[in-house]
Amino acid sequence: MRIRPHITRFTLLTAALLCACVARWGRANDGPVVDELALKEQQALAAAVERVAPAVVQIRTIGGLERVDDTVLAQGPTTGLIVRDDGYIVSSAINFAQQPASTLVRLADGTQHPAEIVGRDHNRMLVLLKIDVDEPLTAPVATPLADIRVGQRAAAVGRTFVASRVNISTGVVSALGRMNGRVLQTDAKASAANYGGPLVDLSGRVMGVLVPMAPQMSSSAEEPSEVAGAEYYDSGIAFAVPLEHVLSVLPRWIDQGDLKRGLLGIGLAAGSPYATEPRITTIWPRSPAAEAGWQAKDLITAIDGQPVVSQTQLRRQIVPHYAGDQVAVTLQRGEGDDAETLETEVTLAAKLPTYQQAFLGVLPQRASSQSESNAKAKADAEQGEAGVIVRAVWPDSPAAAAGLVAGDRLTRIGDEPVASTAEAVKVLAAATAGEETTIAFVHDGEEIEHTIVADTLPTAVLNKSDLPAATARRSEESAATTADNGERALADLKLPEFGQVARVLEPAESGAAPGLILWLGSADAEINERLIRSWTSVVDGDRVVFVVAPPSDAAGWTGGDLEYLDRLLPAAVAQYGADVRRTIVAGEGKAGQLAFAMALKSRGRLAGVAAVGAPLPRTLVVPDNAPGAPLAVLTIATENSPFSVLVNRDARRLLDAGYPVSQAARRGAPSHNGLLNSATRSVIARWLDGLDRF
Amino acid sequence: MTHTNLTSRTTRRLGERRALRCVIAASLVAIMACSVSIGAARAAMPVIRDVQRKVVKIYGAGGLRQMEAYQSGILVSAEGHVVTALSYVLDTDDVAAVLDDGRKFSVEFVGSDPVLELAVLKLNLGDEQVSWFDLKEAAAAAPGEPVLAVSNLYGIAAGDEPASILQGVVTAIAPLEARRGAFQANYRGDVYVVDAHANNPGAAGGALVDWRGRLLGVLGKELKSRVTGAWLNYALPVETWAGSVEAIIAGRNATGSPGLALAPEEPLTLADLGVVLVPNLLARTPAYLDAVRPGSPAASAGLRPDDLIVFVAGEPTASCSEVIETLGRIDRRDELRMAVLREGELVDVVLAAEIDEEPAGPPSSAGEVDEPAADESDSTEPAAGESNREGA
Repeated sequence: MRIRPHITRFTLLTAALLCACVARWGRANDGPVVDELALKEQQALAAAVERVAPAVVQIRTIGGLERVDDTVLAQGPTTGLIVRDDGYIVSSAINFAQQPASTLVRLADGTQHPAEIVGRDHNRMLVLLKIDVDEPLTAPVATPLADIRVGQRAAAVGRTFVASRVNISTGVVSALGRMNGRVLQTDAKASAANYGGPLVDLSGRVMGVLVPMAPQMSSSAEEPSEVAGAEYYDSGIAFAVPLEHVLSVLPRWIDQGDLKRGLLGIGLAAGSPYATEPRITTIWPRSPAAEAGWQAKDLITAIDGQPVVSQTQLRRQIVPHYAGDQVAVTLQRGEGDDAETLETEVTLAAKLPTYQQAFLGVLPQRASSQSESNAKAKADAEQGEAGVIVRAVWPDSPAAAAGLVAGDRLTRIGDEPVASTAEAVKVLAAATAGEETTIAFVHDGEEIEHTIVADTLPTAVLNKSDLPAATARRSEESAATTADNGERALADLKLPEFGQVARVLEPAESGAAPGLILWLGSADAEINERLIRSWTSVVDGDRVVFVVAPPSDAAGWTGGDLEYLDRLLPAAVAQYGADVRRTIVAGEGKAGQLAFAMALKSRGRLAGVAAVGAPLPRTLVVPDNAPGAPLAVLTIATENSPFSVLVNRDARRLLDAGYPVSQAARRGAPSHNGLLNSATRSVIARWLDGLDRF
Repeated sequence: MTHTNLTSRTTRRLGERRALRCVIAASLVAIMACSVSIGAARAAMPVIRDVQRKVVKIYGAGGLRQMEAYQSGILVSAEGHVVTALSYVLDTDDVAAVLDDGRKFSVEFVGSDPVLELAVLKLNLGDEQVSWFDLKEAAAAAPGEPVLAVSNLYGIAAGDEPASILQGVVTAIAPLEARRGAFQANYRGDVYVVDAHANNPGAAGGALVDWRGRLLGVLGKELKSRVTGAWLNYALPVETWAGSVEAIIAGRNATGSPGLALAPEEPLTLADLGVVLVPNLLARTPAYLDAVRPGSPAASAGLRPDDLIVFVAGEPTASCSEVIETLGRIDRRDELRMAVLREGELVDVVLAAEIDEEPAGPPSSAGEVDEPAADESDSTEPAAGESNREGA
């Protein structure tokens, strides 16, 4: 006989106890056959379930998805609970995760009714249905929350296996106020057999509605998954939303349709949420917190009069609330004797406004070499001439309106002096588009102050004429030189753990930190070589390192290559000292789709993604653009290609998520190998050249 | 255990280890409860001890990864007949049974019922005496009634240790709509579904008893429910197999096992009805009518394009595939009742049988969706889903 190693310990323990028990039984053969009291209790519970059974309905969905994420959805019928006699029925959100085309409800009396979805409760993972009824239905009685005790008997009830009879599993109430105070916990077995059904007490009242639920580890604004927690089925850990709560929120639910989680729009100090005080580090622009006048470094001390001293306690007070709820929040601003207490009211939001980065319209001068840059910084410091030299001004930008021109020196944004591009970017990251601020700059030796209104990041690609003539001319010269000198050798870039070899072309002359294009190329080395050569004038003229990576499989790029690319990018950036603000990933077709996947996953390590003839990958969830990790997007649709509709639709999606999306079109057939004509290359180059804008 | 080793059985529940812990805790609770006067559901000690004597540990073939070389069995006669699951464990001449007191017997294979997937063994008792369940005294239970599952799950009981006891209630009495990997269970009749983790590895062939120690059923092999997508804990009720087992013991062939539906002589097709469904592109394409052939039974019954078929012959149908599959179980010479959703209303229709020996007329595109039912369901359903899930 073979025993799995991991159970050996239990085997020994059980064996020992079993032996002990058996030894005792040997002497006790004269007791009653059955504990009648326990049997009666069990029978009482079954009787209580029968009293609730008329309110338990069977739900059938028609059409829809077979799986959500990695969870294969139950194919059979599911359960719902009548909550109001005029036809309102509540169920678990997982029963509707497949987004069915139609829904049928079968009542306990066997009649079938088409149902419509009134709305969802995204905070407690419930769905509200409505059926038309001629006669009032039987709605169950809710157990008052205050009467529910840990340890009391409970039965989980569904109407899944057979329509004519409810299915029952029994246990006890394991805990109250789980999941930040939103649900009860029970050890009665819960699964697709009873999600959406009631948790019944011994008196035939309903304590709650069974739902799968998983803790949300982050406070992110992303919607929780409807299938989260389903993997805990039948485990002895099950949850139920108190029916008392459902009934209290029902009028508002019917009125609003969907109930959403309520968000504040703040970031908190890092550390264990149990031990760290709820001190605000960031305020999301235009969020409820911002509207209430909260500031970074404020400390939250109480919610609705309840003192909170840890981030966990704060969550426990906020998470049960819905969007639209008004919450009284007490803040402490300042430290020690200067500390003041502020009483504020916030109205929680369902969604935080998409982040729109503030934009001035400045293209900073890039130091032509590292040594020159150091020398200049030293000289500036000595002469008190710190600031950012303007290389060019974006047309029709706030900076252009303020009269800034190339060669001026920007010295201050708002109250913050700016000595470098990095500092300017940091100041602007905290601001939002539409905000009024002042800038100071030196023009012809004279300091000028001007009030401007920050704009959103531009989506237009600069024309050649908008950029300093020197750059354009130099690029032509370089192209000529290269042609004269013949072909330069390409460098190889290989990561030890991966078989692929990426090929690299560096700018001919040394100088400032270059930009970097990571191009997802072909499996064919010859095509990659032709591709990389075609970019020579951009590489030299705009100072860009061009890296072509091949897929691991000759058939092309797959999601499995993401790991390779995630490792290749930092290696290339480090090797060539690339400027992250001008580092992008690009590709055509399938490679372009993977470029999207990579860029949206590794925001903060890339300034942009350029995709040619590539819609977003079908299963990709687009996260909202976020402060601190801005990403620019360039989509190039191939004219007359069937994909161009999708490409343009997805550009819209990305715009809605707050990304600056530049759109361009190219003529001709899809190249399938990334070899583009010079016009398209030029668009990508000019877009990239403008990415270090602020 | 590495990721690649994960198979359906180890992904079975989040942390089988925890499930196992629960199982052990549950069995200990049940056993310990006998000696204390408070606690939850319980039967008295003599009852449990008596039941344990009638459940045997069976050791045979297997031992490879995910194929335990042991299972459980129930003694059903003084001569040593044992009812157990028909499985690979019995695929060897070297099968042994060990009683609760450690007595070990070689066994001979008496016979099996392939539909119920049960086998009858006989212990070579010699002069030894054993306790056994009298099938004539078997009981029945209703949903909500407390029960005990008695088996050697996980092979925890070794040597002279009696089988483990798990407590629970009957969750439902329902048809066995289950599948094992890509294969369906042969048996389709009613089973006891219980809320204890009764059907873990090694439990197959164990006993489900009520609190008075009366036999209710035999624990089946590990299966996933088609209805809930979850692992099923169930037992085959005694009345479904007692006759078959008695026949095997008496030396007759097992006959009359319930649960096998006979395929109709002439299965009904969509073309017979005169309807075309929308192209069946997804796993769960809703069964909307794309076209109705004029003069067909469907047209006479008043069906229209854009109607959504939701019931066929009383069975709910959630997709095109299910409509086709259900029609395949109906003889084309029978009258057919259907229900459709039309503008949010449920509409019942009766389609008269069409006795028409001519091949079905236009629309000819009907052939596209008019595949034999079995092929449809096999290609679109669980098999693919299962493997993808494991791969993920």
